[in-house]
Amino acid sequence: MYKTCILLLLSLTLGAYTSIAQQYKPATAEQKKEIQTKVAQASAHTNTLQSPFTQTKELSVLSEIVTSQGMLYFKKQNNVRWQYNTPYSYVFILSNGKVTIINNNKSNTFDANSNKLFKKVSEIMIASVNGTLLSNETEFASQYFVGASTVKVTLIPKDKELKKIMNTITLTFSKTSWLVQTIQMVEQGGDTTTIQFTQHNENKPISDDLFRSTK
Amino acid sequence: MKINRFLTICFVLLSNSVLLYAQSSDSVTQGGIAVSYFLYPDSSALRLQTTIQFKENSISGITIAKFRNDTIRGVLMNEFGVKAFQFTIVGNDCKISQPISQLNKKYILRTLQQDFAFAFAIQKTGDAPYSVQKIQNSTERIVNNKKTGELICQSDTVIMNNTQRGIRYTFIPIL
Repeated sequence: MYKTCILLLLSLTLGAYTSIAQQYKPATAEQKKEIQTKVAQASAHTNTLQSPFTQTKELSVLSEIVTSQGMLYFKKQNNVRWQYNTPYSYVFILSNGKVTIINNNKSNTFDANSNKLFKKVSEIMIASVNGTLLSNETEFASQYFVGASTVKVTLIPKDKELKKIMNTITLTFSKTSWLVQTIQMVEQGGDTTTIQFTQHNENKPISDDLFRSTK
Repeated sequence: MKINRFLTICFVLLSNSVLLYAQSSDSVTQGGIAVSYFLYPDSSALRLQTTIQFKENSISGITIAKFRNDTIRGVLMNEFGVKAFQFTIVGNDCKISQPISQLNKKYILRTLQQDFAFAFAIQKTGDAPYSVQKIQNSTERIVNNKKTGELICQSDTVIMNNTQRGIRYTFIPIL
């Protein structure tokens, strides 16, 4: 009984904390400009980034939520290694216009241009990670929100083709590091992908080998 | 003498029980339902590295599929989670839904549906509409009777060639 009361109290406190933490107010024009500047500055100063991530995908067709964890490696300009560690091992590398997949110790490389729409999605991911997506006002309409410790930017595609697959992309930035904490993509069918970066390691050396097909 | 016989019986019983335990453990670790050439895990979804190549275009990503109540439900998405299409297969019929705009054309969907049905729904018994050839110990080639498609099944890769339209599908289990 005593334990149940404590658990109930804890869950109520956590629930209240979460609801407070998730309160966002629309940003004023000044705040919007400040956010853009801070994110752009953080992006300019970030030459490399390593971060563990948790990816949650709601799949309505399977009636389930698929969760994967892994590691992101980013190196300027456009080198990305997206490495799943659990529940399976699988690596996606985007570097110098080539996509490399490493699965079962075998690698497979092909031209990133072979699928323009998926290439676009990869570019959006890179631009989300390095913060440059906010300055892309020609392709996205944006809405800015300010919370206690984070800011949230919702991007709505203007591009006709992208619009057909993506409803919104919501980026959450920390108000201290101004690096992206979460990326949430809502597809037109309603399925949602949420990627949460749990710990940022900026400007630590990353070997170029990580962006090659053999490692 | 009696003690020796007793010990022998004990040894045989113990050996059998160890063997039975090993067999049951094995069946748990390798648990899953085999449909076509894919093994669907009991508690999680089947994941396949997937590439669809057509002339100079290709779609690569991850197929996630589940087999429940005689139905295969799945989705092909890119590595960041954006969906290319989802599919449902009942018997030999495949239905593609929510395709990306590039694929949302009647003839493409019809082709994808036929090809996914062939790759995912064919039974290992090689029933009527298919002929099965053993190429090597670990490789089988299945050709449909219309000779418009072939399935090359190796130990770690399943390749489906739509020979009529020149489309190649490669599926590699992600472990």
